[in-house]
Amino acid sequence: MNKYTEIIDKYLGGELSTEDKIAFEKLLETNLELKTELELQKQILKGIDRAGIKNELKKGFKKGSFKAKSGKWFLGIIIAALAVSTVLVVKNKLTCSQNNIQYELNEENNKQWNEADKQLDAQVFNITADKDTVIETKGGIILTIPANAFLNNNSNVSGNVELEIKEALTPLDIMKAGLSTTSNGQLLETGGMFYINARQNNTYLSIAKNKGIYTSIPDNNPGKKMMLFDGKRMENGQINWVNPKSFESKLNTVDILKLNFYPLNFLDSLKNFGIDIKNKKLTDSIYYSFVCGQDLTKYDYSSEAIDFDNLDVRSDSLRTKSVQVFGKKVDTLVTINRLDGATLFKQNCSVCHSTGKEKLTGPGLAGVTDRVPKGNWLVNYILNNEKMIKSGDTYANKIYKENGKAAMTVFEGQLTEADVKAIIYYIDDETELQKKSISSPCEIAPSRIHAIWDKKFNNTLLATKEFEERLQAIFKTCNHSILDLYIKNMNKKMYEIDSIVSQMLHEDTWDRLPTFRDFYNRRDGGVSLNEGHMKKLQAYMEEKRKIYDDAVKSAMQKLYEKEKIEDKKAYQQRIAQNNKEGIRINTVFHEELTTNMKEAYRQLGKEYKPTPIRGNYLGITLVSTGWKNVDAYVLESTLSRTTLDYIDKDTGKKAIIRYEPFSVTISEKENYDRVVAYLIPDKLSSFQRMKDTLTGFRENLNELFSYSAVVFGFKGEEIFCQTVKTAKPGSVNVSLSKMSRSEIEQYRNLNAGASRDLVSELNYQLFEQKDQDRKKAIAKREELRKRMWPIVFPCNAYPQQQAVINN
Amino acid sequence: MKDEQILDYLKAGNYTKAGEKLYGYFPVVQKLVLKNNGSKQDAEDIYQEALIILIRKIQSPGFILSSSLNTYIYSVCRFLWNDQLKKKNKSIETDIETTLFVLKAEEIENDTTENENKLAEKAFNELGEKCKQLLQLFYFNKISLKEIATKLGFNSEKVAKNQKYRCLEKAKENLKTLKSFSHE
Repeated sequence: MNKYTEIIDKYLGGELSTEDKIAFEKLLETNLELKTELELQKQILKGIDRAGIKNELKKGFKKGSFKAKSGKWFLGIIIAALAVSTVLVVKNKLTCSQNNIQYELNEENNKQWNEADKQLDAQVFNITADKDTVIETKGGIILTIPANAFLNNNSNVSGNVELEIKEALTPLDIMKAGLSTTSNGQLLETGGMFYINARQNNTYLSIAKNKGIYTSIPDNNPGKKMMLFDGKRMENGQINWVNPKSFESKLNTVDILKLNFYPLNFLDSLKNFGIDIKNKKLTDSIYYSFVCGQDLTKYDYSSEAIDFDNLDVRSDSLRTKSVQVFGKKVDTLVTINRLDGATLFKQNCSVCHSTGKEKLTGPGLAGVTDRVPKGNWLVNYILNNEKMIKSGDTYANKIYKENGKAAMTVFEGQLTEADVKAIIYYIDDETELQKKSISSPCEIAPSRIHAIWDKKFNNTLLATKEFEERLQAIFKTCNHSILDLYIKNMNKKMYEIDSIVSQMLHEDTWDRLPTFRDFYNRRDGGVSLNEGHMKKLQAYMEEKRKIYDDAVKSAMQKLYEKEKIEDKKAYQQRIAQNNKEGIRINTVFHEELTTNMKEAYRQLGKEYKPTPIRGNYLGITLVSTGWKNVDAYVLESTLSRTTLDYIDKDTGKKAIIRYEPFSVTISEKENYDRVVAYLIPDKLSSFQRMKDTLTGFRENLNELFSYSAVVFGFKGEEIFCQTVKTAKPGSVNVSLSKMSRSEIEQYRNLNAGASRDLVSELNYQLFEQKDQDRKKAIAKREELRKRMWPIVFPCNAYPQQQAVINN
Repeated sequence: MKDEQILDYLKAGNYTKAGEKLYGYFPVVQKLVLKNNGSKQDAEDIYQEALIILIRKIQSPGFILSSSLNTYIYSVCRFLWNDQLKKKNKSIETDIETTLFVLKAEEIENDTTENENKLAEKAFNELGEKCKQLLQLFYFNKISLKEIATKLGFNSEKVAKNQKYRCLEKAKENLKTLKSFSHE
């Protein structure tokens, strides 16, 4: 770190004591470097100030531009009408009588009447004030009048009410009525006008503000921004149109379960994956299985399929192997090292390195073991990086250059190899922890959607096509508080909520139009909802959300636990089978070797005395052609299953044991998940495996035995089988036929030992078959999760790319 | 009346409120820049630059605005944009509409120190997000390190302090690099 930055900062911030300040200023006169640094630092502060001012100004611009844009609303074109306001429910319809009655007083209780009042026919409806009523006028205006909507001097009116409507919705009617279309002298384009008033016993009634009459007017100018003006009678007999109001569209609710509340592209992606998207139960279960905070990386099954054939050679990497098999590290190793590692790291490394991605003097060490060369490279480098750089190691030189050729301490002599390993374990663990914390997005958790995508929310603002659309935009924000805003304001109008959201989401530049402003501009209305009911729904939602969260979390955990146990079982079974198989092969080989020896000695006219073979017979490479011991020839012949053709030079006698090829091809082999073939020799205690080659199953037959062959095919849980009673050199083709488990018993008749082993082999194959299916299913599921992840949590699609900290 | 209100906001350092009002003057500047080989982004930059000059003026003692705010801002913008065009051997087209209410060039001093500061701003903006937040909160918003530590998730005030020095350091380095480039 630069030695001046701190002191300069204190000097500029006035944090220095008087003496220090004097000393500093004195130093400033002579020390040119300090002077330059001071200048730079002052400028940086100015730069920060500039950036700060700009930021604040921009915030203001955004607000200003938003206001300016919403202001344009008032330039719209117009429908005209008299006193009307909002909303309500529908019960029965009425028809009207028509006559042109002239009253003495108008609705304002004065005698001023206009030409229009005289010219237009009145439609009079008699309604009952304490019932919900819907009426439709001749011109098509629909009025929804809730019960108790009328007031007489601020007290509720019940009983019969006379509702008088006059309408001029066509140009002809407007002309006839002599209605003007000016608003304070400005000419308006009209979509029609109507007049409404209500009376009871010749007393004019007013409309209760908290009820309102929801009025829908036929719109003959779709697309134009019509507004509602109040008419004011003028002394010249004209009407001046004042007080414009925007129309709102009342929303229609639909069955909430028929709406699509999944994130964008969710269903399409599932479909591409071959999932039946019409099965909502299934798609729901997939969606809801994404739990907020669920750690995906911990259970990465796809990388850990166990390769049975190579299992035995891996004992040296058993620690690593077990790490992968059971999905977690060997706890004891990690915990022991962790403590030491943390302390050692702090003492030796933390000055120059962070365990995150942050670069200090040296690079951040998150994920370091993944990026450096494998093997012991990292340990060697930490112990003595100078040596490695000098030795010309490519990677060592690369990072040396990347980090400005800064020297790193040589730890050889200070730290042991075990110490360094402990440090590496510690860094690995930290990396793991960091991964965990960033791979747990809590954007719009599926449980939140689960809680509202529920029949209970039918007939609310959420059960509308309009909300469905907003939800898609909400998903993009990755911000659940936006969703909450809609839920908490379900009794408000949609556009009011849109407007709040739009203002909340001041986006990048102050002149960009965010989606929610577009929504706002549509002026979508609301769905009326009783306050108490809404509160209940919200409480219901909160509670459900938590329950769902916990339920899914524990279900997922149980599932993973179960799989871990099954993995462990399968692993153990494979090891057991591997050991058993080793012994069996060994035994059968010895038996065949003994038979061959006896026969060879017989042919040579000698007596065979078995000598024990030392060491591991499988590793024998002692055999060479110059060796004159017949045992070796027989051994080699038996090992390679090729014909023995030996002449004893002393006696001239020959020993010949023939091996001849036999092969089995299987009809429609590709129809089976897997096929295995065995030879069952009459004189040996167990079976022999045939080699699976491109041209069928092959093996050489020993002329001393007579063989049968058995072929098993597996398809799902079904077993197919065919027996070749007498296997003779040459090739045969067989078709497999289905068999039941009980039929396996028939192989007991072939050869007691062989059939016993065969039954157990078959059982093992069945287990293997089942386990492969299980693995495939898991892999498929995890693949699906990986693929759906970025769709469910769009803002956390690539957690590894998230920069953790500055620079 | 409106001008005074905006000036008061600026004096008080309430830039957000001022910005809200000042937005109204932007379209005419945008028009000027768009008409003269500039983009919308250029217009925004010029406009912000003009406002910064205005703010510096207001902060200096004895400043009196001799014209309406609108005229002043427009003139500064015009001056700045012309300056930029000059570098490309171009100049602003003269038309009646724009010459009518423009202050004369000598009434607008071109503040060269502000150019240096511009570079410093750039150096600052090249920092990582967290550094920027930290420095901004401390030096501009004058928020205490303790609060900043909680807000930005530093373990302690001390960590925040060290991080602050580190960020300053980095900004200075950035500035040095930028300067060496601009001299070449």
